[in-house]
Amino acid sequence: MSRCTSVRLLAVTKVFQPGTSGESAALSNLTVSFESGGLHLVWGPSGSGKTTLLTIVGALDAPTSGDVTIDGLSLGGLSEPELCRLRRHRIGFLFQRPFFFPGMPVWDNVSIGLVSDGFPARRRREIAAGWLERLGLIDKLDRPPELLSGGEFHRVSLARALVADPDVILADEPTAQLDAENSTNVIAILQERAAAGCVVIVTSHDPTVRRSARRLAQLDHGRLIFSGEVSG
Amino acid sequence: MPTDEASAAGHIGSDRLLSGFGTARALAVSIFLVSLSTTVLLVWEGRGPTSRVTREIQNTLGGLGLGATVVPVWSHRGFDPRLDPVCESEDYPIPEAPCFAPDHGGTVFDLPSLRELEGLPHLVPRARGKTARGVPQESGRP
Amino acid sequence: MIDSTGCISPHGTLFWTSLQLAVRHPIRLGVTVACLVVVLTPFLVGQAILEGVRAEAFESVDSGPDLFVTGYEYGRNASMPEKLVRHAVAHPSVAAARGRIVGRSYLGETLATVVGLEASPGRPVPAKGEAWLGHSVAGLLNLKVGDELAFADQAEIRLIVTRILPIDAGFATSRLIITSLTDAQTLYRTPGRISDLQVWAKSDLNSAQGLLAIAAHLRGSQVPIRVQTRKMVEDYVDRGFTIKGGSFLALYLVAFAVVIPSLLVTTGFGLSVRRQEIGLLKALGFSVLDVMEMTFIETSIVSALAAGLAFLVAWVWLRLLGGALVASLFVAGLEQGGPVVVPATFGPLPLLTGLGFSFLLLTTGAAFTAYRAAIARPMEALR
Repeated sequence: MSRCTSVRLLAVTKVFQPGTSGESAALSNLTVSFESGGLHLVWGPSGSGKTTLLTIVGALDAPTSGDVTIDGLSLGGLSEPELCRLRRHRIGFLFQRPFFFPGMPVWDNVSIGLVSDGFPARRRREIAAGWLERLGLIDKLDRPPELLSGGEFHRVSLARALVADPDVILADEPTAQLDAENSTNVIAILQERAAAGCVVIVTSHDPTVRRSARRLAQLDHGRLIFSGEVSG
Repeated sequence: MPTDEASAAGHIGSDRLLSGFGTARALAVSIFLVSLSTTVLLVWEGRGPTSRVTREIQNTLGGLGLGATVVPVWSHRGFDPRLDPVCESEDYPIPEAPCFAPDHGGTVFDLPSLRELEGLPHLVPRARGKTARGVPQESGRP
Repeated sequence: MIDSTGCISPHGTLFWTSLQLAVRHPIRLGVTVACLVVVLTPFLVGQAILEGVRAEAFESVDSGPDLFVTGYEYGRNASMPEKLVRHAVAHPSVAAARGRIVGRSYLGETLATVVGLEASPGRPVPAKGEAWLGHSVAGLLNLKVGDELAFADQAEIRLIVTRILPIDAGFATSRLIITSLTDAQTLYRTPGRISDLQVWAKSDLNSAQGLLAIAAHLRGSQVPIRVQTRKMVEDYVDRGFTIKGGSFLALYLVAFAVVIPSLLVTTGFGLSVRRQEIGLLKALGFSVLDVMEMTFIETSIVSALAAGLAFLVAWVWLRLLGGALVASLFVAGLEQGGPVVVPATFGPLPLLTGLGFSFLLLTTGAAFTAYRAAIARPMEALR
């Protein structure tokens, strides 16, 4: 089934600790669109608001003002249960800092998001195995994540982001701690998902990712500096 | 979703499925066994709080022993207040202070003083609804 | 979205996931369960002994007479003339009357309760010169059937042990020496006197008016007496154990208050790790209800496990270990030695109470943290 997803941010502002001495604006009046069909790279120095942008698009945090729409559906107008369903079915998030449940095997960590929909364990394991094999981690299927290397950790996190076949894939530094071969594989998977109609937004300092991206959104101090096709 | 790769993986065995569930199943089994044991013991305990021989001996004695005391040490009050309503230690050495009698004050269980209950007889349900036990033949003096 | 064919009820999958999350921290789980078992076991032991004592007390009341009469002198019970028995029987409402002596005596270092019983049809009692011994006193005096029982200050009394009561004859009978009424009168040098009179009324006349009439008749003998009815005895036995049981429960609540902080810690109250875990679940699409359901399942599981284990430990402690080190707190006289079956009755109510206590404590610690994290935005919980 083909799909065509779009994500739009309309005048999104995010202020942390408003009204206090530690107040800071992570995003300021940001308006940008992301369409399916290719990788979108969000680029900028540390502290420019890249991760904040991803968390707001991923409904993990709410903007102080402005709106985010996915296929025209405003996230601000959704109830808590609707947001949960959105995160579960339509959004896949790869965290820069991996969060896992120690002691639970990798396949369970990867597919735990399917529990709320009633997927039985056997089925979840099969689904997880499929993605782990693509990422070269099938031999880690039953291991606890604390026994994984940094790079393996990151690839398992990507598998978790992809397991529900989401429409929107948000990857924060997807190639961090990966060697060249695995980086290439991960980028190929993301490009494949983008070609399948998903909106794929990544943040990265990796030149390989920049070369693979189709569109670039550059941030600086929370403001959009540039948005357009990637050149060179 | 690469389901064809999943099915081609081949080495996804059912025994592997249990690897993540091993300890969870162990917990579930433990709870089941504990619950089952508890239920069995509760049913067994429900057969009756006192034994047949207890009832027989109490019948012979005409009822003896009410308190949580094996033997009256300082007074009979802790053992069976019918025998003696007053524990003399209640008034000595400090009147109205906690009783020092080991068979009376030496347990968390106790019976109230009979003093406030003395009075006219009340209506008596014979043996609390059951056939009266321990009643000699109604032919006069045994 | 992926194909959801074959999906089952989410409550089932949430249940198994809750189990998995619970066992990921086995030390924390073990400590929590152990704390609860340590707190609940003495509570269950105490409640079981309370119910056991109460059951035997009511057995004693049920076996007793409709009217229990004792002499009254100087505001205390006193002995009465045995002729009061004949006087009682003379009343038309009286079905039967029996005199009894209940006293104490030391045999060496062993204190025993001596009971002298008057013979009556259908109620076998020791004959003159015979004695029945409670199990504990027989063990303490090292006597068996056929042995002679002698009293140091009463050389003329020689009783042959003809029966040793079984160990499960009730703890109140464990230190008894049962003799004939005549032998007891000789032992205490009170010929022709009894310590209490037991009167049974005829069934059709067992009313307040009937008992009043009997009591008035007995008082007409001019012997100063106290009269207690069976109902009076039932009332104060019921009230008494309720009151003291309440004191025990109050002490126990204090113990709970001490263990609450430790349980709150182990259940994750304020634990940032737990908050992050919930944040991750929310980020992966779990709803607030899902998180609270899993928290409820986890606390229920741990509560059930702890309460059940505490029950089993309490049962073993009382039934198999005889309540060692704890029974003497609840039943006086056990520390003086001699084999005694500790009275105990295990019922469902204390177990359910313990389960409720555990659940309340665990939920207080876990639910608060879980709810606060669940209603927050996932990134707030993950930070």
